[in-house]
Amino acid sequence: MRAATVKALNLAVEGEGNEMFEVIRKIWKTGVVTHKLPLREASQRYRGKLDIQPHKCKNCGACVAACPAGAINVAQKGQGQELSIAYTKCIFCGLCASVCKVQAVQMTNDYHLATKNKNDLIQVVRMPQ
Amino acid sequence: MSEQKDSDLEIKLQQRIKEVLGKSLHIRHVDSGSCNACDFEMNALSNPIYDIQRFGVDFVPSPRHADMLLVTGGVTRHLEEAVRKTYNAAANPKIVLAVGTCACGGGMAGQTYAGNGGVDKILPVAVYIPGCPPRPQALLEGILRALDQYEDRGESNES
Repeated sequence: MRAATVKALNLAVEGEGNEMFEVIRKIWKTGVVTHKLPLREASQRYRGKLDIQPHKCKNCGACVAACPAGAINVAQKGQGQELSIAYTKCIFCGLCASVCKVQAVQMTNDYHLATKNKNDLIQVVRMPQ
Repeated sequence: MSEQKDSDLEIKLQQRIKEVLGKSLHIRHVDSGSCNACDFEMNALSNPIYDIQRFGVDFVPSPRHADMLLVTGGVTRHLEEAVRKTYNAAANPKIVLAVGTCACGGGMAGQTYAGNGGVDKILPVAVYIPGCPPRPQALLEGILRALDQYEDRGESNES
């Protein structure tokens, strides 16, 4: 904005009035850029919290193998299996979602992950059977 | 999230800062071996788009002026001492936020011979903000959550 103002002043000195008004109009058109509501929803393409649908999962283990940070783990719990995602390790790269053939793992645009309790950062999903 | 709820949060943040701290919240950013992605997002908070200063939140150049420490990175062996000294230099009541996945629990690097794997191994952490890097909005939400417990922590620190 400052550079544009300097340009406008230079043009005014040189006597090119029309161009000066062009530049000033550009400054006015930019207006206020501040977000009035900063906590609004992220864009749809934003990679945030994982959404896992256990009924779709085929237990192929592709997401566990693809995770570069080792954030996804599968553990045997009683009869069924438990899939746990550690947000203390997840780098939100989206590789697990891209390798999943049945779209059981998907990225959502939810970024509200800040928490006081560290245990909240581990998301556990129970698999059927 | 609805627009009404959003504006409520914003007003709440401003009110909490006034209630708890009197005037404004001063933040010191501590880099404990991060890749600078979190630091850039933190810088973005003070740009014209997010404009965190309208809520009365400011970044200060010394821990002695600060009420809150935002720690990024997984606390490497070389910076462990610096992080401890910064925490001791901050005036009570102080509060620590772990910003980013590395600060929350090691992240990609994890716990190795050269890294501690998380700020909570060294300092008492109030709020964890995961994300690689977290959005500026997520940081704002984390600061709001931390302020909810500011009073309790202040009392416990003084005793």
